[in-house]
Amino acid sequence: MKLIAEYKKTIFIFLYIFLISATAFSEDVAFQISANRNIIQTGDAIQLNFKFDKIRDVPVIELPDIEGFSSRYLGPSTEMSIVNGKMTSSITYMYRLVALKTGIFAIGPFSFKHNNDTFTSNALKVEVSSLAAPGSGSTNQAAQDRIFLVMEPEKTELYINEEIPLKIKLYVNGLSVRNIRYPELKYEGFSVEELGKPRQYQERKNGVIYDVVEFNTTFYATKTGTLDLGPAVLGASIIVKRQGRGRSPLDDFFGNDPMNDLFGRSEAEPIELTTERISISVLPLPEKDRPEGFDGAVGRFSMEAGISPASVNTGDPITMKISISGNGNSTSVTSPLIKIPDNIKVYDPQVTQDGNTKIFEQIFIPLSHEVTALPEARFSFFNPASSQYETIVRGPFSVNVAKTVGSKRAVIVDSQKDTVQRTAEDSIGRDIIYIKESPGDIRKTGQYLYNSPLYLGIHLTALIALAAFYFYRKKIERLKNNTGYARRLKAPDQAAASIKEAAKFIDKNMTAEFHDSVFSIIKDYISDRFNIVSAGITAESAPVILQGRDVDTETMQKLQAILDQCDLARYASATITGETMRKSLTELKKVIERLERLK
Amino acid sequence: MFKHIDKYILLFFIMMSVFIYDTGNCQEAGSDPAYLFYKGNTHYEEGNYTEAIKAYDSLEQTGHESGNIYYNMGNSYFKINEPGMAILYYERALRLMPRDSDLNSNYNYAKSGLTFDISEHKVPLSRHFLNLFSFLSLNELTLSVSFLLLAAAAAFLARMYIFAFRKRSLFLIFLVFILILPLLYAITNRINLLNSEAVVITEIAEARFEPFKSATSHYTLYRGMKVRIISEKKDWFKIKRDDNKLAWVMAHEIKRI
Repeated sequence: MKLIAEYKKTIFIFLYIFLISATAFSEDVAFQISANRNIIQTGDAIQLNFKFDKIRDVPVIELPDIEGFSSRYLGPSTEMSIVNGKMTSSITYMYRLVALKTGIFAIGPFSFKHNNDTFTSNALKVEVSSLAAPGSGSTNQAAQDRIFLVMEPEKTELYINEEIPLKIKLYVNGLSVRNIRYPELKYEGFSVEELGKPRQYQERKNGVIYDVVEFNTTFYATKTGTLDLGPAVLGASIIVKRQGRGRSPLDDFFGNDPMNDLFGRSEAEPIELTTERISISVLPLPEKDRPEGFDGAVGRFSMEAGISPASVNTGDPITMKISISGNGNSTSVTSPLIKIPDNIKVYDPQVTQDGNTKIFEQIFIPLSHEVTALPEARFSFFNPASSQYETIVRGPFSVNVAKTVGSKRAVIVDSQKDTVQRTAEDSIGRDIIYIKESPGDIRKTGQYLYNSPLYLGIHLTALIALAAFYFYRKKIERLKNNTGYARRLKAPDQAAASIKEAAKFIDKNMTAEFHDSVFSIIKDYISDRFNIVSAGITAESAPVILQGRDVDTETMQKLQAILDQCDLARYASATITGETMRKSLTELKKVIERLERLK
Repeated sequence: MFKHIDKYILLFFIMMSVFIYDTGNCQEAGSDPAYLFYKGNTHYEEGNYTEAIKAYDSLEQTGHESGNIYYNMGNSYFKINEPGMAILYYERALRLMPRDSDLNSNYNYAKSGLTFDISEHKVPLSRHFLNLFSFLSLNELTLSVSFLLLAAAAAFLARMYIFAFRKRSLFLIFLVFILILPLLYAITNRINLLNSEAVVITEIAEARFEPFKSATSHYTLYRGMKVRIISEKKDWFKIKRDDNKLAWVMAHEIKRI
């Protein structure tokens, strides 16, 4: 394996030297072109070099179209050499040419202007031979193109607005083509529809079977005269096999993969295919016999028309539906001519298109019950096949218009609040909105919140609660801020509690403790009730304190009696029976009750 | 102390929420009204509008009502070409659901097909003011007052507890009561209209100076027009138009909303 690779390498080196020597140039020529190969097969690529000696400031040259090849700029390469102390420099622009056709092709000479000097290159000849196409089975296709693009309009003489089918076909024979893009068509004075999805099939052309990719569309002329259609340009990539023959010095520098040498390499080479320009002769539509209402429709059409409903009340809408279908330029088809009498109101038609059919829906409103028919619809078109105008008439359409019942008016009405200007189709056919599907919030008839006892009761309760809360709050605040008031309030409760405690001493026959307790109750009560310091209150001072406070004599006497009894028991150790003590306690309660009534 | 107060507040809110819940469920148990409603709807869908009206009528006879029932009745009457009755029921529905867009659309549509006396009478200023609240039903107006009262109560409570709030609270409470006043006016007006508003259901109704057929005609009322009933006398209603002109119309020519 290695031996074969070495052998091939040696052959290529020799070939390279040979090619270089074949394109050798004399020292006098400053602009030289050369190719790495001059005999190739279709689909193969060669490298074309534009070399400028002694100058380096030459801009990149845009390569003109070279017949039979598609070209691509690869890049520049500069070179410097010093011979016998003399320095020379050169720049080379490299291009890649892919052979698309078979034959012998001349490349160059190319002329180039730079700094007022004109440089002219030498010429080359490249021979492109055929590659045996798989499946063709023919040997006489040496002179056939392997890939080309064709544009085929159905006619080249046509009327303005006449719609013509157009095919753009890519023919490929024996090449691998990838990344085919949609063709771009150049045109002026035409309207071209968008290209449809391409279809693929095989076609025999000049005895050779081609794979064809066909793009279909239609076009029509928008002005008269002789117009150019095209060219169409299609971009694609072809797969080029480079069996080591396209080696460059760079390959040597970076080394080479022996596997590539053996099996060859495949590369996608972008190409651009262009069709011929086609001259189209566009004729104007004849003026003679042009019918009334003709609006530029060109083609062959049929028309259907109908109305619905045929029986209405005055002011109700009737829809007329007109369908125009056929072969031709649907863009040029406009609404048919309908002559409207004064007693019918009409709105602009709504236009829809469904394939080759154009539908016009138009609303008519009879303003009077005397309307018996809707007028006829006339549609005129120019038939390019017969070169004559044709007119289709449908109608008139009988209608039965009744008088509007009641006070309804024969006008289309909108809500008073609705200030937005509505379009005709919004107003037409207006009706009430459908019923509610659920019963909603069912309640007893006439039952409202304002007459609901519960509602009123809650409000009343809330009001009372708020008022109660307010007064309670006020009382709390007073207790907090007014000590006298607080003491006054707690005095009877405290006295009552202490009386209960004192009663316990009677049962235990604890005379001294009982009287101590009773005296303490009187002292504390008077202190709290009248907001005075309790320390200064004695059996003698207590009646004095009460004297200035409107206390009746009986109460004073009772209080004095209780105090005297306390003194006797506490200081004289007198014997006092339980009965007496109970009586004293009852009297004390009465005294406190009386004192409570004081303001 | 505060714990007790919090309890009272909580109790108040619970009572309020029970009340709100209660108002939303004021319907009796039993499926009869719903059954009659769906029966009416089925007739309507089949195009039997007269039968649909009968079913809805039976539902109305059970002493129940809802905005949707009245709306569907309005639609049914409209379909049998009785726009006066349709407007009557749309008016009834509007009292319960004034913001319903379908209802408003149908109401306007029904009205737009009618003839109206567009002569001299002007809409009084108070009506313009009341129209400001037309987007609220009577219950919603009443509830609005409740919520404003609640806000006032809250401000009152806040005044007792939050010292910083004490100065502003009086103004707030005052403001709330100022807001309540127009609402109360609107509520009163609605309540007054509840049993007095009527719609002309015949194509034309002659409003006369006196309650008998030979009396001189004062003005003409057209189908769908609204009037106020002031009093009744045998087969006659004393009515008042928007411009406060009083007259008598025959009882069968108008129907209470």
